[in-house]
Amino acid sequence: MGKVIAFSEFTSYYEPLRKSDDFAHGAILDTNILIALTYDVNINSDEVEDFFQTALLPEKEHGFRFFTTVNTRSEYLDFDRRLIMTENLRDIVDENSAWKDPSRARTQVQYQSGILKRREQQGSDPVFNDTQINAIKSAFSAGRHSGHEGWLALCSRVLEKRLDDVETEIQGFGVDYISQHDPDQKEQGHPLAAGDGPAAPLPSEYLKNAIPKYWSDKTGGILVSVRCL
Amino acid sequence: MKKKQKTVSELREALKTIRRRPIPRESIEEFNRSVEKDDQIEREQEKQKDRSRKTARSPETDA
Repeated sequence: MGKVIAFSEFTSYYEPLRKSDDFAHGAILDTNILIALTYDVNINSDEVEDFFQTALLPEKEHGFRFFTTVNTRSEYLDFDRRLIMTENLRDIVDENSAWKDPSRARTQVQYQSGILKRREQQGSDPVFNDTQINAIKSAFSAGRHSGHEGWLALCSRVLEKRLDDVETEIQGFGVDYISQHDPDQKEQGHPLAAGDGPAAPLPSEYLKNAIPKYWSDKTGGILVSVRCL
Repeated sequence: MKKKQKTVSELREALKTIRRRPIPRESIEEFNRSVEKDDQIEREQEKQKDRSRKTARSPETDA
Protein backbone atom coordinates (compact mmCIF):
# COMPACT_ATOMS: atom_id res chain seq x y z
CA MET A 1 0.00 0.00 0.00
CA GLY A 2 3.00 2.31 0.21
CA LYS A 3 3.69 4.89 2.85
CA VAL A 4 0.88 6.51 4.72
CA ILE A 5 1.47 9.89 6.26
CA ALA A 6 -0.76 12.50 7.85
CA PHE A 7 -1.64 15.81 6.22
CA SER A 8 0.31 17.52 8.97
CA GLU A 9 3.43 15.53 8.08
CA PHE A 10 3.39 16.39 4.37
CA THR A 11 5.78 19.32 4.61
CA SER A 12 8.44 17.44 6.58
CA TYR A 13 7.98 14.40 4.31
CA TYR A 14 8.33 16.44 1.12
CA GLU A 15 11.13 18.74 2.26
CA PRO A 16 14.01 16.34 1.47
CA LEU A 17 12.35 15.29 -1.82
CA ARG A 18 11.82 18.81 -3.12
CA LYS A 19 15.10 19.06 -4.98
CA SER A 20 15.32 15.42 -5.98
CA ASP A 21 15.25 14.53 -9.67
CA ASP A 22 14.09 11.00 -8.87
CA PHE A 23 10.54 12.13 -8.41
CA ALA A 24 7.95 13.77 -10.58
CA HIS A 25 6.74 16.55 -8.33
CA GLY A 26 3.02 16.29 -8.23
CA ALA A 27 0.01 14.69 -6.62
CA ILE A 28 -2.92 12.72 -7.96
CA LEU A 29 -6.10 13.97 -6.33
CA ASP A 30 -8.89 11.54 -5.53
CA THR A 31 -12.55 12.31 -5.96
CA ASN A 32 -13.05 12.79 -2.21
CA ILE A 33 -10.34 15.42 -2.09
CA LEU A 34 -11.76 17.24 -5.10
CA ILE A 35 -15.19 17.32 -3.48
CA ALA A 36 -13.84 18.55 -0.14
CA LEU A 37 -11.65 21.06 -1.97
CA THR A 38 -14.44 22.61 -3.96
CA TYR A 39 -17.56 22.22 -1.81
CA ASP A 40 -17.46 24.06 1.50
CA VAL A 41 -20.44 22.19 2.93
CA ASN A 42 -18.51 18.91 2.86
CA ILE A 43 -17.58 17.63 6.29
CA ASN A 44 -13.85 17.57 5.42
CA SER A 45 -13.76 20.91 3.63
CA ASP A 46 -12.01 22.92 6.37
CA GLU A 47 -9.27 20.36 6.82
CA VAL A 48 -8.64 20.03 3.10
CA GLU A 49 -8.66 23.79 2.59
CA ASP A 50 -6.08 24.14 5.32
CA PHE A 51 -3.95 21.37 3.77
CA PHE A 52 -4.00 23.03 0.36
CA GLN A 53 -3.42 26.56 1.63
CA THR A 54 -0.59 25.74 3.97
CA ALA A 55 1.11 22.77 2.31
CA LEU A 56 0.22 22.12 -1.32
CA LEU A 57 -0.36 25.54 -2.90
CA PRO A 58 2.96 26.96 -1.63
CA GLU A 59 4.69 23.98 -3.29
CA LYS A 60 2.78 24.65 -6.49
CA GLU A 61 4.66 27.92 -6.81
CA HIS A 62 7.82 25.81 -7.05
CA GLY A 63 6.46 23.57 -9.76
CA PHE A 64 4.45 21.00 -7.78
CA ARG A 65 1.48 19.95 -9.90
CA PHE A 66 -1.98 18.49 -9.30
CA PHE A 67 -3.49 15.75 -11.43
CA THR A 68 -6.64 13.72 -11.72
CA THR A 69 -7.23 10.58 -13.69
CA VAL A 70 -10.02 10.49 -16.25
CA ASN A 71 -12.07 8.30 -13.87
CA THR A 72 -11.57 10.63 -10.93
CA ARG A 73 -12.56 13.66 -12.97
CA SER A 74 -15.61 11.85 -14.24
CA GLU A 75 -16.65 10.87 -10.69
CA TYR A 76 -16.14 14.46 -9.57
CA LEU A 77 -18.20 15.88 -12.43
CA ASP A 78 -20.91 13.34 -11.62
CA PHE A 79 -20.97 14.68 -8.05
CA ASP A 80 -21.16 18.20 -9.41
CA ARG A 81 -24.01 17.29 -11.74
CA ARG A 82 -26.00 15.94 -8.77
CA LEU A 83 -25.09 19.00 -6.69
CA ILE A 84 -26.23 21.43 -9.39
CA MET A 85 -29.46 19.46 -9.90
CA THR A 86 -30.12 19.31 -6.13
CA GLU A 87 -29.68 23.04 -5.58
CA ASN A 88 -31.71 23.98 -8.64
CA LEU A 89 -34.53 21.48 -8.08
CA ARG A 90 -34.97 22.83 -4.57
CA ASP A 91 -35.09 26.37 -5.97
CA ILE A 92 -37.52 25.38 -8.71
CA VAL A 93 -40.12 24.07 -6.26
CA ASP A 94 -39.79 27.10 -4.00
CA GLU A 95 -43.12 28.90 -3.75
CA ASN A 96 -41.61 32.13 -5.10
CA SER A 97 -39.99 30.41 -8.05
CA ALA A 98 -40.73 31.52 -11.60
CA TRP A 99 -40.79 27.89 -12.71
CA LYS A 100 -44.05 26.11 -13.26
CA ASP A 101 -43.66 22.53 -12.19
CA PRO A 102 -46.06 19.62 -12.04
CA SER A 103 -47.43 19.36 -8.47
CA ARG A 104 -46.42 15.68 -8.28
CA ALA A 105 -42.82 16.76 -8.89
CA ARG A 106 -43.01 19.41 -6.20
CA THR A 107 -44.21 16.84 -3.66
CA GLN A 108 -41.46 14.44 -4.69
CA VAL A 109 -38.69 17.07 -4.42
CA GLN A 110 -39.97 18.05 -0.98
CA TYR A 111 -40.12 14.41 0.11
CA GLN A 112 -36.58 13.71 -1.13
CA SER A 113 -35.32 16.91 0.49
CA GLY A 114 -36.60 15.59 3.83
CA ILE A 115 -34.56 12.41 3.35
CA LEU A 116 -31.57 14.56 2.43
CA LYS A 117 -31.91 16.59 5.60
CA ARG A 118 -31.79 13.45 7.73
CA ARG A 119 -28.71 12.21 5.83
CA GLU A 120 -27.05 15.59 6.24
CA GLN A 121 -27.50 15.35 10.01
CA GLN A 122 -25.47 12.13 9.82
CA GLY A 123 -22.59 13.89 8.06
CA SER A 124 -23.38 13.26 4.37
CA ASP A 125 -23.31 15.94 1.70
CA PRO A 126 -26.79 17.40 1.10
CA VAL A 127 -26.82 16.17 -2.46
CA PHE A 128 -29.45 13.94 -4.07
CA ASN A 129 -28.17 10.54 -5.11
CA ASP A 130 -29.14 9.06 -8.47
CA THR A 131 -31.99 7.00 -6.98
CA GLN A 132 -33.53 10.20 -5.61
CA ILE A 133 -33.00 12.07 -8.86
CA ASN A 134 -34.67 9.21 -10.73
CA ALA A 135 -37.66 9.33 -8.37
CA ILE A 136 -37.99 13.06 -9.07
CA LYS A 137 -37.56 12.48 -12.78
CA SER A 138 -40.46 9.98 -12.72
CA ALA A 139 -42.64 12.54 -10.98
CA PHE A 140 -41.79 15.10 -13.64
CA SER A 141 -42.54 12.68 -16.42
CA ALA A 142 -45.33 10.43 -15.16
CA GLY A 143 -48.40 10.75 -17.29
CA ARG A 144 -47.03 13.74 -19.12
CA HIS A 145 -47.97 14.15 -22.71
CA SER A 146 -44.36 14.82 -23.65
CA GLY A 147 -43.05 11.83 -21.70
CA HIS A 148 -39.54 12.52 -20.44
CA GLU A 149 -39.30 15.62 -22.59
CA GLY A 150 -40.16 17.96 -19.72
CA TRP A 151 -37.48 16.46 -17.55
CA LEU A 152 -34.90 16.59 -20.32
CA ALA A 153 -35.79 20.19 -21.05
CA LEU A 154 -35.36 21.00 -17.37
CA CYS A 155 -31.98 19.21 -17.12
CA SER A 156 -30.64 20.90 -20.20
CA ARG A 157 -31.62 24.33 -18.83
CA VAL A 158 -30.13 23.64 -15.42
CA LEU A 159 -26.92 21.94 -16.50
CA GLU A 160 -26.27 23.74 -19.75
CA LYS A 161 -22.69 25.01 -19.87
CA ARG A 162 -22.36 24.80 -16.10
CA LEU A 163 -20.49 21.48 -16.06
CA ASP A 164 -18.14 22.75 -18.78
CA ASP A 165 -17.49 25.87 -16.73
CA VAL A 166 -16.86 23.84 -13.57
CA GLU A 167 -14.29 21.81 -15.45
CA THR A 168 -12.61 24.93 -16.82
CA GLU A 169 -12.48 26.40 -13.33
CA ILE A 170 -10.85 23.25 -11.91
CA GLN A 171 -8.35 23.31 -14.75
CA GLY A 172 -7.67 27.00 -14.09
CA PHE A 173 -6.93 26.20 -10.46
CA GLY A 174 -4.16 23.95 -11.75
CA VAL A 175 -5.67 20.46 -11.68
CA ASP A 176 -4.76 18.71 -14.93
CA TYR A 177 -5.67 15.40 -16.43
CA ILE A 178 -2.87 12.93 -16.02
CA SER A 179 -1.72 12.00 -19.46
CA GLN A 180 0.97 9.95 -21.02
CA HIS A 181 0.80 12.12 -24.12
CA ASP A 182 1.27 15.53 -22.52
CA PRO A 183 4.81 16.72 -23.42
CA ASP A 184 4.92 18.90 -20.27
CA GLN A 185 4.27 15.91 -18.07
CA LYS A 186 6.84 13.90 -19.99
CA GLU A 187 9.38 16.65 -19.40
CA GLN A 188 8.68 16.52 -15.70
CA GLY A 189 9.51 12.84 -15.66
CA HIS A 190 5.98 11.67 -15.14
CA PRO A 191 6.15 7.87 -15.05
CA LEU A 192 2.99 7.51 -17.11
CA ALA A 193 4.33 9.88 -19.71
CA ALA A 194 7.30 7.75 -20.54
CA GLY A 195 6.11 6.29 -23.80
CA ASP A 196 3.63 6.74 -26.60
CA GLY A 197 2.06 3.33 -26.12
CA PRO A 198 -0.64 2.33 -23.67
CA ALA A 199 -0.23 3.51 -20.08
CA ALA A 200 2.57 1.59 -18.47
CA PRO A 201 2.17 0.44 -14.88
CA LEU A 202 3.98 2.58 -12.34
CA PRO A 203 7.56 1.40 -11.99
CA SER A 204 8.11 -0.50 -8.76
CA GLU A 205 10.58 2.06 -7.37
CA TYR A 206 7.81 4.64 -7.45
CA LEU A 207 5.42 2.28 -5.70
CA LYS A 208 8.00 1.43 -3.08
CA ASN A 209 9.31 4.87 -2.35
CA ALA A 210 6.95 7.50 -3.38
CA ILE A 211 3.27 6.83 -3.12
CA PRO A 212 2.24 7.81 0.35
CA LYS A 213 -1.39 8.27 1.12
CA TYR A 214 -2.12 11.24 3.28
CA TRP A 215 -4.35 10.54 6.19
CA SER A 216 -6.70 12.96 7.72
CA ASP A 217 -5.34 13.97 11.12
CA LYS A 218 -8.82 14.47 12.45
CA THR A 219 -10.78 11.50 11.21
CA GLY A 220 -7.94 9.00 11.10
CA GLY A 221 -9.31 7.47 7.92
CA ILE A 222 -7.88 7.63 4.44
CA LEU A 223 -9.43 10.83 3.32
CA VAL A 224 -7.34 11.62 0.41
CA SER A 225 -5.15 9.74 -1.45
CA VAL A 226 -3.21 12.62 -2.71
CA ARG A 227 -0.32 10.59 -3.99
CA CYS A 228 3.18 11.82 -4.66
CA LEU A 229 4.34 10.62 -8.02
CA MET B 1 2.42 37.71 -16.97
CA LYS B 2 1.95 34.75 -14.65
CA LYS B 3 -1.65 34.09 -13.72
CA LYS B 4 -2.35 34.62 -10.05
CA GLN B 5 -3.08 31.39 -8.20
CA LYS B 6 -6.61 31.32 -6.79
CA THR B 7 -7.02 30.46 -3.14
CA VAL B 8 -9.28 27.57 -2.17
CA SER B 9 -11.99 29.93 -1.01
CA GLU B 10 -11.83 31.89 -4.29
CA LEU B 11 -12.17 28.61 -6.17
CA ARG B 12 -15.19 27.63 -4.08
CA GLU B 13 -16.75 31.03 -4.62
CA ALA B 14 -16.25 30.81 -8.39
CA LEU B 15 -17.84 27.35 -8.48
CA LYS B 16 -20.75 28.52 -6.36
CA THR B 17 -21.31 31.40 -8.78
CA ILE B 18 -21.44 28.92 -11.67
CA ARG B 19 -23.93 26.71 -9.82
CA ARG B 20 -26.13 29.63 -8.84
CA ARG B 21 -25.99 31.40 -12.20
CA PRO B 22 -29.53 32.53 -13.02
CA ILE B 23 -31.30 30.70 -15.81
CA PRO B 24 -32.52 33.15 -18.51
CA ARG B 25 -36.13 34.21 -18.03
CA GLU B 26 -37.13 33.30 -21.59
CA SER B 27 -35.72 29.82 -21.09
CA ILE B 28 -37.88 29.35 -17.98
CA GLU B 29 -40.94 30.72 -19.80
CA GLU B 30 -40.40 28.34 -22.68
CA PHE B 31 -40.25 25.46 -20.20
CA ASN B 32 -43.38 26.72 -18.43
CA ARG B 33 -45.28 26.80 -21.73
CA SER B 34 -44.45 23.14 -22.31
CA VAL B 35 -45.63 22.26 -18.78
CA GLU B 36 -48.87 24.20 -19.38
CA LYS B 37 -49.39 22.40 -22.67
CA ASP B 38 -48.90 19.07 -20.91
CA ASP B 39 -51.35 20.12 -18.19
CA GLN B 40 -53.95 21.08 -20.77
CA ILE B 41 -53.65 17.78 -22.61
CA GLU B 42 -53.88 15.89 -19.32
CA ARG B 43 -57.04 17.77 -18.35
CA GLU B 44 -58.62 16.96 -21.71
CA GLN B 45 -57.68 13.32 -21.36
CA GLU B 46 -59.22 13.26 -17.86
CA LYS B 47 -62.44 14.82 -19.20
CA GLN B 48 -62.51 12.24 -21.97
CA LYS B 49 -62.14 9.43 -19.42
CA ASP B 50 -64.93 10.93 -17.26
CA ARG B 51 -67.25 11.09 -20.27
CA SER B 52 -66.49 7.46 -21.14
CA ARG B 53 -67.16 6.36 -17.53
CA LYS B 54 -70.47 8.29 -17.45
CA THR B 55 -71.54 6.76 -20.75
CA ALA B 56 -70.70 3.29 -19.51
CA ARG B 57 -72.79 3.84 -16.33
CA SER B 58 -75.87 5.38 -18.00
CA PRO B 59 -79.12 3.28 -18.03
CA GLU B 60 -79.45 3.72 -21.78
CA THR B 61 -76.15 1.90 -22.24
CA ASP B 62 -77.52 -0.98 -20.09
CA ALA B 63 -80.63 -1.14 -22.21
